Formats: sequence, C-alpha cells, structure tokens
Amino acid sequence: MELLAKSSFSFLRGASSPETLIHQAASQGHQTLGIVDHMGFYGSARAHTEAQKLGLKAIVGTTIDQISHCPPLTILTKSRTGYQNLSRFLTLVHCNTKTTSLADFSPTGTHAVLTPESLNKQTKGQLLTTAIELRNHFGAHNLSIALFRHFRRGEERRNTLLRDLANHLKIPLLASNAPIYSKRSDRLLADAFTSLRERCTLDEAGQKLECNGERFLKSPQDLHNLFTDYPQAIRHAYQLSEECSHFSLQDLGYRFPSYQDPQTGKLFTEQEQDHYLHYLAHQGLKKRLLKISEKHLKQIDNELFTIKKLKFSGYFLIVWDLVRFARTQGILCQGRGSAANSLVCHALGITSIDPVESGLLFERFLSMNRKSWPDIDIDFPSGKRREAVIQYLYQKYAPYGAAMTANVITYRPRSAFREMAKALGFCETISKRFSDLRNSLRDREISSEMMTPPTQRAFQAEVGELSEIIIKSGVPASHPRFHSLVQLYIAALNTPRHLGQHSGGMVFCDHGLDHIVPLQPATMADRMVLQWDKDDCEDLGIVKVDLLGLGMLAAMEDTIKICERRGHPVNLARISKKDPKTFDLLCRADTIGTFQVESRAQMATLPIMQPKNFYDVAIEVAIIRPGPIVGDLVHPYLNRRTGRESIDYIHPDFKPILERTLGVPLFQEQVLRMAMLIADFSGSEADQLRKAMTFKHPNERMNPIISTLRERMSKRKVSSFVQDRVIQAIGSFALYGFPESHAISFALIAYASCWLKAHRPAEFYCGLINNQPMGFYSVNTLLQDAKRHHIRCKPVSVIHSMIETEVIDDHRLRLGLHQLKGLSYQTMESLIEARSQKQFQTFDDFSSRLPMNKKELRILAASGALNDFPEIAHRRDALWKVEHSLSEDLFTHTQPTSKTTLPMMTPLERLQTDYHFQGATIGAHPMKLWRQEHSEHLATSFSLGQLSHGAHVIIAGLVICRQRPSTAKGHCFISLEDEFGIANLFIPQKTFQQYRLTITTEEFLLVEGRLQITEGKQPTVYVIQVQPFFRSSKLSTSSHDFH
Amino acid sequence: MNYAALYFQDLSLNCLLAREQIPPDQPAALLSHQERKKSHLIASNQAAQSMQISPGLSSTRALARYPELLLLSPDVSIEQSTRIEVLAFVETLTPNFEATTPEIFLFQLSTTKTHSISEWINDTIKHSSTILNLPLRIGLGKTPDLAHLSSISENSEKPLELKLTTPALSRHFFIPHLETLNLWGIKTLKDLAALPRQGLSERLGTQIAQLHDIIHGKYHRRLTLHQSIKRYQSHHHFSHPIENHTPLLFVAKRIFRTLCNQLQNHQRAAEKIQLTLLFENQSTHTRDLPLFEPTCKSHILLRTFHTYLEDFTAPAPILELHLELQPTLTRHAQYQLFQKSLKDPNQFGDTLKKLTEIVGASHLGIPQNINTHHPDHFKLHPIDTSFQIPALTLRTPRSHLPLKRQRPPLHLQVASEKRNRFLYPLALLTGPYQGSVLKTRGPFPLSGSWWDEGWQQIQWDIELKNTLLQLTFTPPKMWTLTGVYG
Repeated sequence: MELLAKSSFSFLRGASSPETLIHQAASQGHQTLGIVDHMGFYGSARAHTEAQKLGLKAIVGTTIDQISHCPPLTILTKSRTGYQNLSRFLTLVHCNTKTTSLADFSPTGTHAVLTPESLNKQTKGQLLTTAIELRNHFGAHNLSIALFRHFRRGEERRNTLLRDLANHLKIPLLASNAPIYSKRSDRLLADAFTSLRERCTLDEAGQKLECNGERFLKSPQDLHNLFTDYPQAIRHAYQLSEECSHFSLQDLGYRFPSYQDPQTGKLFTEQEQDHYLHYLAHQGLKKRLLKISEKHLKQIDNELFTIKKLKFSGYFLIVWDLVRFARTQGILCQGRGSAANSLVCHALGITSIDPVESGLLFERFLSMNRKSWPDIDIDFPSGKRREAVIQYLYQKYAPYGAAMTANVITYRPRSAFREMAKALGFCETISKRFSDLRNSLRDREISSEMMTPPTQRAFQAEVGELSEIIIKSGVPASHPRFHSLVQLYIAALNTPRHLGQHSGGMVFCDHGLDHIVPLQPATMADRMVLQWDKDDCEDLGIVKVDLLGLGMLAAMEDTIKICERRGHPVNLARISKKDPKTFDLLCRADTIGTFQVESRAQMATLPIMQPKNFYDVAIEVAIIRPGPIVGDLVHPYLNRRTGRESIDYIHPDFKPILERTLGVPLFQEQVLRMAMLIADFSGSEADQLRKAMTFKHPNERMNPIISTLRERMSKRKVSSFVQDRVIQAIGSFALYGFPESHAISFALIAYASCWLKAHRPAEFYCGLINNQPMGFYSVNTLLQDAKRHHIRCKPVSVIHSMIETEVIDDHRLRLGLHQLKGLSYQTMESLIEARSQKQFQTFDDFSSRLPMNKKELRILAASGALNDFPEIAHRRDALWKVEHSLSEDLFTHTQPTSKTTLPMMTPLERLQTDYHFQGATIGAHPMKLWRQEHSEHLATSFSLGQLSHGAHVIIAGLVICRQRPSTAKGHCFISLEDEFGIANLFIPQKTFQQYRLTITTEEFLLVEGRLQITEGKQPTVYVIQVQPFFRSSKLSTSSHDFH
Repeated sequence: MNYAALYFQDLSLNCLLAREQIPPDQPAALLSHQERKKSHLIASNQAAQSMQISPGLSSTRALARYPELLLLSPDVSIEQSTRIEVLAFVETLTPNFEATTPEIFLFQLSTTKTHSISEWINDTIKHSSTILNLPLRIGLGKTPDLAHLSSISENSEKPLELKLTTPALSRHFFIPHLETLNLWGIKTLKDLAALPRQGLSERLGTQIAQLHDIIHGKYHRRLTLHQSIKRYQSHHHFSHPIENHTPLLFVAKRIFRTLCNQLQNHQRAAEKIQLTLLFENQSTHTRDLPLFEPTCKSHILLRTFHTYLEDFTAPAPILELHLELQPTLTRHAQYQLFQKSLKDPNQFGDTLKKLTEIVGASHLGIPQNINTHHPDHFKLHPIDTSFQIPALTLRTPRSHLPLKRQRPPLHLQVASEKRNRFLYPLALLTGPYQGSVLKTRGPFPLSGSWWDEGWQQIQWDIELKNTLLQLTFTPPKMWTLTGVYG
C-alpha cells in the first residue's frame, strides 16, 4: 500500500531500481506499490514487469515539479484514461517551451497527492489557495494530502498543519513514507546521488542530505505503527491503492498502426491488410524472381498464412511503405537480421536475400509458438538520408505519433567510479588511473566472466580484485573513505544514469504515441524520444522498427549515382554473384575500403579462405568475430577447409546442422538447432536462448538456460566432453552472437562493395571519400590505395572542384572542397554559386567576387586551391597575395608594393601542409620522401613479400591502425603504411608492454623483427624491437586505434 | 658592439639540475605542471634534445622516446633563491643593467671594467660556471635587442640564424602571425629580414615591421635599469649588556622611527618585524612579529614589540639588538567617510595576543556553523579583519522556546524502555535535573558522515516536573543532557 516510492529512474533522486523496490515490497507483504518517478513513467515499465512475476500490482504515477503556480505534485493513475491523460500531460510539460499550467491537464482518471514537500516553498496562505485550486481541478475525492514521518524535528508541526488543511477542505489524508530506496543500507547511494545532483561533494552537501536513514521502503506493519494516530490516513492509503490497482500497464491500449491507403487516407481493416499483403507479396515475388519455383510458392503461402494468423499483416505493410518511400527518394536500403529469413520480406523488397535459395529458416524470424513481434532491422545510408526516412515517419504520424526508443545509460565501471570518487572528494587523477587499470584487466575479466558461472565466483573475491585496483589507483586500504568508495561503487554499478536515444529503434502509433508513453525532445534537433528503452517496449508489446545507419550504404549509393551520371549504370540486384574479378579481389585481399572484409584480420584470412562463392563470403564475414575466436573456432574451420584437419561434428546428430560449415558452429541458428536437438529445447526455450545471447549482460539470462541445457543433456546421457563443447560454443556466442541471416545480409553488401571496387574503382573511391569518416581507413590510405589501382587524384581547385570529390574519368578524380579542413559549408556553397554565374578569371576577380575571411583564404592558398589562377605561380605565391588582398584599403585598390619573394614549398612542406589542411595528400608518401633523402636501407611493404620466412627485417612507416582486441591475450597488431602498401606487424604481449608508450603515441615507427610468412603467403613482421621513427617531420596524421 | 646580454639558459631547469648535481649527460626535462600525466615539457637539456626530446612534447611521449628521462617538476623556492644569486652575480659585473627577464640581463659594455671583450666574456662564463654552476651565454650587439638575440642564439656570431619557433625567442620577443610566417616558409630571423619591410607591413601590420626593424638594428630602445631591493633594517650594539626592558625599548623606539621614515619615503608600510637579540652567552633569539595591519607608525611597532617583550625572558643579558621591517604596500582607508569596524586593528591584534596567551590558541576564534545535521557542530575561524560571515544559510527547525546548550554535554544515567526500534527515556537518575519524565517528544534520529567515521544519535525533548530538557542518546548506551529549554 505504499504509494509514493521513487526509483533510481528518478535519476539522482532515488537509489533503488524498480525491480528491487518491487522485490522488497513483495517480501514485506505489500500488495501494491506506487512508483512515482520524477517527471515521467521511466521506471514504471520495469516495475510492472517485475510486479507481474511476483503477483503484485505496480501503480503508475509521477511527480511533476514544473507546473506553473503549483508546488511539486504527485499524480497517480486510476484508469487507462487517467494514464493517457497523464502521459499526454507529461509530454506537454517536456516538449512545451512555454510554461505549463494545470489547465492543460485533464484530471479524469487520476488522483493528485499534495505532499509535505509542497510546504517547503509555500506560505500557509499560498498552500491554502493551492489546495483549493487543486480540489477544484481534481475534485475532493481525487485529491489527498500526504503525511510523512521521517522522524525529523518540526515534522509534526507540519503534519498538524496539513491535517488542519485536510479537515478544513474535507480532503482525505494519506499515510506514506515516500521511500527513495528499498533498504536502510541504500541510503549511502541516495546521499551520493544527492551530492551529485547538487554538484558538490558529500562533505559540502551538508544539510542537503537526508538527516537520517528513514526513507526506505517500510512494511505495511511499520506504516501502521508509524501512523497509529492517523488511522484514517492508513485506511485511505489502502483504499487508494485498491482504486489505482485497477489499471496496469498491461492495459496500455497500444495498437500497431494500421496501414493507411495512400490515396484515400483510409485505414485498412485487418482483412484488407491481409489481402493487400498477399497481393503485394505475390507481385513482388514475380518481379524478384525470373522463375518462381514450387518451393517458393509453398514458402510464401506458408509465411502469409502465419502472418495472417498472428495479425502482423499491417506491420509488414508499414515496413514495406517505409522501404518504398526510401526507394522513391533514391535512398538505398536493405533489411538485415532475422528478417532476411522471410521470403515475404524479400518479395516486398525489404531484404535482398532469397531465403529459399540460401536455405534460411523462416521460423527463426516468425513462428506460431512465438508471441513476440517480428524484428525487422533496416539499414539506410547514414547521415542525411537516414534522417530523411526518420523525419518521414515523424511527419506521417505527427504530432506525437512517432519517437525513438530510449537508451538507458547506466553507471558502468568507469563512470560509477568517477562519480562516486567525485562525491567522496577524491581527485580526478585517481579516477583516471582506475580507468586505465581496469582497461588492462578487461581482457581477463571478460573471458573469465563468460567461462565461469557467477554462482561459483565468490563475491568476496570480486571485491578483493576491485579493492586491488582501487589501491593501485592511489587510494590505500587504510584511507578512511576506502570502504565507502568500494561500497558506493558496487551500489552505483548498473544504476540508471541518464536517458539517451537508441541508435535506430523507432516506435510509432496512429492514434497518438503520447497517450501510450510520455515523449520528450531528444538532444538532437527534430527528434523525440520516449521514456522507455527497447526491452521495456518489447515487454509491453510496443513494436519498434530499427532504422540503422550504415556508412557503406551511403558510399555505395553515391557510387551508383556517379556510375549513372557517367553513363554506365549499375543495378546491384542484378550483379553476378559469381563474378571472377570480384572473387580474385577477395582472394588476394585487395579489400581496402570495402565493407566488413577490409579489416586487417579479414585481409589476413581471405588468402587462406580463398572464397569461391557467395556463401564463402558470408562465412568470411562471420568468421572474423570475437566470438568464434574465443571459442577457438576460426582455425578449425580454416584447417578443415584446407584439408589439414578432419571434419568433426561434435556429436553425430549435429551433422545436418553443421555440414555447411564443416562441423564448426559459426552461426546463431546452428547453435539454437544444436540446443533443440541435443537438449530437446522447445521453440520458446530456443527463443529464450536467442534472447539471452543478444542481451547486453548475457550472464544474467544465460546462466539459468545453461543449467537447463546441461541438465537436459545429462538426462539424454550425452557425454560430459560433448556437453562441455556445446556449452563452450554457446558461451562464446552469448558474447558475440551472429545470425546466419545477418551474415548473409552483410555479405551481400560486402560482395557488392567488392564488385564496385573491382569494376568501378574510380566511382567507388569517390563514393568512399565523399562519405568519410567511415570504415577502417582514412582518406589518405584510400588515396594511397587508389594510386596503387592507377587512379590519380587532382588537387582541390577553386576553378575546377565541386563541393564533393568528383570523377573526371576512369583514372582521375578531382578532390572536392569538402576535403579542406576549416572551410565552412556556407563558403563552399557561395563559391560554387559565384562560379556558376561566371567562371573566375583571375585571383583578383575571385577575391573581389567572393568575400571570405582570412582563415579560409589562407586555407585555400596553402592547400594549392588557388594555383590554377594565371597570376599564381605556386602555393607560397598565393599565400603572399592572399595576405595583401586582406589588408586592402576599404575604398582604393592599391597594387602590391612588392612581388613575391617567398620560395616555393619543398615536397616535404607540401606534404606537411596537405596533412595539416586536408588530413591527406595526393603527393608522394612521407616514406618515399624520406627514402629520397636517405641512403639507409629499410625493408618496404613490397619487399616483405619477396623475403623468405624467418628473415631479419627492419621496416619503418606511418601507423594507420593499432589493434589490441580483448581476445588477443594482450598482443598488438599494427598496420604500417609506406609508399608501396601496408605492412602487417605482430607485436607480442611482452614486447608491447616494453614499448607501450612508443607504440601508442608515435605516428611513425621503426621496427625490427622476424618475417613470418603465414598461410596464404601473407608476410607479417614478428616485432622484437620498436623505436620512434624520428627522422620524419611532424605530420598531422590520424590512425584507427582499438587498444 | 655597444651592448652585452647575459642569458642564463633554461634557468628553471638548470637551477634544479645544479641543485641536484645531475651530470650533463643525463637527459632531463622540466614539466609544465606538478602532475606528470597532464604535463608537457617546457625545457630540456642538451642530452635530452639529442634524443629528439624537445620542449612542447607531452611527458608521455617524451618517456616513450627515452624511458630513463629525468622529469623534474618546477620548484618555485629553488628558482627564487637561484634568481637572487644570479642578480647578485650580475651586480658584480655592472651596477647598471636591465633585468629584461629572469634569464636575460642587458647592459652597456662601457659600464663594465674591461679592456678585452673576448677575455671578459670568457672570464664571465667561467665565473658563472664556478660560482653559480649555471650555463651562461653572452651576446653582443649594437642595439640592446640585437645583443639579446645574439645571446639566445645557438651561434652568437650569427644571431639571425635563430629559428622563429625557438622557445627562447618566443618567450622574450612577441612574434605576431607566426602561423602565417610558417606557411610562408619563414623559418629564421634571417628569412624574415630578407622580406621587404613595406610588403611585410602591408600584409601583417606594424608589429611585424617593428620586429623587422629590430633585426636590422634600426630600432634602439633605452634600457630600464634594475633597482636592487631595499632592506629596512638596523642594529644596535650595547656598550654594556642590558638586563631590563627600558634601554631596549628606548633604542628600539629610535630604530623604529628611522625605519618608518624610510618606509614612508618609499610609500611602503611594515607588515612584519623581524627581531634578533644577541645575548652575552653568545646565544641568539630570533622571532617574527606579524602586524595585524601593515603600518608605518613607529609607536604601533613599538607597542607590538613591547607586548612581545612583556612575556619574554632573556636567558642572559642582551648584547645586541637587530630589527628589520618586512615592507609591503600601504593600505589606504578613509576612516571618517566610511567608518571601519576596527579603528586600530593593531591594538585589537595586541588584545587578541593577550587573550591567546590566557585561553590558548585553539580556544580563540570566530565560531562558525558547519553545514551538517550534526547538532551543535561548529568550528573556530581564526580572527582577522578579512573574515566575512559565509553566505551559507543553515536550516534549523524553528522552536518557540530558546535552548541553552549544555557544553560539553553532561553524561546522565537514564531509566529507559525499548519500544519499536528506539529506547524511550522514563526517568533521569543522575545530574542536576532528576525525576520522572512526564512527557516526551521524539525520537529524532540523526546520523551522517558515514563516509568518514560516521556518527549517529537520537534526540529527545523531555518534560520533567518544572523543566524542559533536550536529551541525546548515542548508541549503544550513552545518554547525555545537551540543552535546557526556556
């Protein structure tokens, strides 16, 4: 019967999670618990889900403190109408830039509570006026005055005043302890949160903290004892709980929008939706396939039957409409994830894979056993084009009909330590050191966490390890605040910190989403976000569609457009999946700039893998994942493929499942089917396993499933050796699960990007350069790679360049103005506009027609963009002239008094300037320049291929990528670029530790080591010694680092 | 060559190296902050520079280049004492010089006693090395600035070879538009000198033209001569050892009057008296007597001195008195227009000193509430004229009755009974107020500072026959009387 509890979703106003509060309430014998989080229903969804499990009723409410001329008010919901009214009002409060008054709130179905906290800012007279206003607005029966007993001085006087007010206005009294944490011990975190909210340390917070630890959730008996002198307040608490418990979030009234006829605007009935989907699917199939097989027809009818039975036709139509909109706008898109298992999705153009041909299972996507909504994720080109689709949905369901799902940002180890240390007054250095030390321990933690069930891990050991890190961070165990720090850190971990925006999950509703859940503006302009995250939405049956941004799609879309403009269009849907040129490119790992297969690890595997067909590409995409590496699964696959190892199916029964991947479980679907086969897992159990694999904290959900799995396997008398191998495979996938359909969808993009690189290299590089930053490599590396493919780049020129980089012909690109760092988009537009009216003739003509600021003119001059003017001899000449034009008299055009005396830039100076203003150069590689000036002999990336295994090597170059994946046991991988290409370095853990600072801070490295020619004839330098390569001048280079 | 410049190169670093006696082949560098992680290098020695460890590099990167690099943090006190030594050294060379920066000293060669310039240079460098253990460079020029440039240049014969990015140059000369000059490929002063003055002035303004003039020796400025720090001190040797205050005060009065006149002449006031007494048994007594407010009134100084002497017992007859006044800027206050709270702060200071001697320093101060729920918690703020009551407003529950605090709280024996979680007082068995408890208000549990030692207590307001009291229970079993109402 406690009605006024605040959870940690009140963000720094509550210290216990909704789930903990509900658990505590259940253990204390409460039948109901009201969660009244600050300014929203943030924690109500979780409280509801947990309460359902424990047979409790979670009452929904909120505390609002932004109503004009009104003290902070707690409002509880009594019915769905009340909930909807309150949800709409909260949306209004969050979204309205003007003040919101009570008049904007329809009180039907709600109950307001005036709490003692209201007295803080009001005089007696003001309080009376407010109470009368509230009574008039809500009605005397829908307003209560709460009494708190936190054993504070002065509390009784306040309670007496409230009692008199209640008697005077005939408003009932309500007994409550207004808990902000579940147990007395949680006060520590509540105090720390208060100090963080008040932006001070605990020492400075003083009286802003609670004076005692009485604000915990008290049992009904304790509440009775507290308010023996106010029995009517206790009675009313029960009565109000009873009234409010008639509504729960189960009755949210959410309905996925029906498909709307684009011509008439009429909403389709269910039957009409079924018919229309049937029509569209069959039409789409005819368009997609030249010849429709019996198998296809049977499959599509089967799918349509399931969709109709589950009443999901409208959902498919709406997603189809979305994809159709994107296509009409020329926006490339492709469904990914399990949707690729559906032939209907393929027929509707949502996905590009023919699941029948690829042998994908529809049941993985949708089945009668599964009650949850199907999950369709669609990739769009990142940036403006994806935003256009999102805005289309906002417009279509406006106002307040669509929003992004929230992303609950919780306290992670670093943030928890930093914030708690701050509250305790520790200096920032300690937090930084903690964070560094935790990073170095990360690898060990992740692997050990996964392999050992938490039940076996002693909590004490965990605390011991944590204490050790804290001590190393600079807080000795003898420090008086050491234990408080440990306690607070543990308490704060995983507690909600703030609400973010999900990367792409969007929810929509055709009758006002703000009735279903409060919405609030996101930090990003023109975006709304709802107060629940995707799991909350899923638990409450709210359907989301993931609209994800993919940089490569944007690059490919640009490539295709350029191809069209140049008169040799490309239809990606029609390109051959058996193109020899593309497979050659893949086999020789010439994949810089492509999708998914461009990383160093992928490039090292490709020559071993020697992909020969499309499915090989899908395996290649899936194989270089942390998951399979953890499970030691990559090498067995490659060994088996090259015939060095015999094929083993773990268990004979797994042969049909694992045959395609040579006995190695590479895909999530295989793991699920293995579980179904060997442990008799039902469809829903397999679904739980799938969910656990994709859950952020897999241990939480995975451990009970693994126990069941082991139990069932034991029952079926499966040997413990096989059991261990099955569990090990599942454990690895729980960390980095990768579904087959997903791999195939990605492989499609990967293959298409390789095809474009093989057949349309100029357009491909252009598309990539125009969509940076994306992928693995910088523009400079792409330009160097383009050069190796005989594609030259012309420099930026104010006479010839457009804003974006353009293709001149098959072997030449013209860099766009966008390459110049520091040149505003507005300036670029003005330049193009002025030039479109009349080409610039001379520099004077240019500077007089285009007023630009000093900085921008200097950038143009220094980067050589003014060199095409007849009177400009070289970059320095331009720089000399530019400075004069800036200091010209306002009314007279004086001639410069002296001619340029500045010398031309040397090649090295040009290189430095290019890196500084463009981050890339079209000139010679810095290593080439160095070699021209020095006679010392160093190996090159090219010469490595000609040396024998074990040869002693000294090589230098520009670091373009540093990788130290958590699964690599501390070893480091570096890609070193020179004028010939990229050399791969392997730095063993010991050597890395010895030269850590040099490796992580220097731009150029000189390394000494042994050459290793690995399988696939890939040369790798096994590094023994590292030193900075001083002799190269300072450049503003950037590398892609993961360490 | 008319001018000479002495350049004590990287003084902040070299003074530390000299103090620690670090050999020159040990690569060493000076950090910008005390905290190593955030720091970059502000100076490095020759050995470090040969390993590409140059100023501007981050400490992490410097260590990456040479892990054994000696990283030193700036030490203000060592630097200050070295500066004093350096000044003294320069004063031995010439009385008239300009202390351009702590590292650079400029003077006219004609002011030095020298016949051969090269000999003088060699001697000076040698002396600097032996006396100060600091590297010194000497530059000569026809103008002060050219001499300056010559001194900071690696090759003093060719000062124009100096790079524009040299930290010493940018520290001492303002070089406008350095980024543009860099883009132009102007790397040295020579490159800059080669540019046409007018063209340069048209493009980058007059400041760069002035630098151009300096390089060409067309700009000749006057030296701002250094004035040494004046010490306000005097001493008196008694012909016969004295054994009482009177002659001491008599002499002190005369000394204070003289020193105060000197202070007034220099628009200064004394903020501290430094007293040294030499006794017949050859022992000495030295003491600093701070003044409550800077003053140049001799009677106030004398009174402070007198107050100190009142409690001072000499171990032997006094032979010599040495007094020095620490100078500071005078403070101005208009007593008539805006009345100050203290008309004579030094007299107030005297009173406080006397009080301190009676009650002890820890018992004297301005009580200041601490922002906590802990009842009756306050700290004593040292008394000085700058103290202001903090803006902090503490929430204390209002009561109709005044509470007289019992300090320190009085321990009591109380008969009690446990109800729910709390012990309810029934009767006071000991103390000045005994009897049955007729009425209670409470409990009021209070706790806090759990992150340190933590405290908790439960307060009760109780009514005895004729008295209202505030009782405090501190777990596990301590009852105290903390106040009496009314």
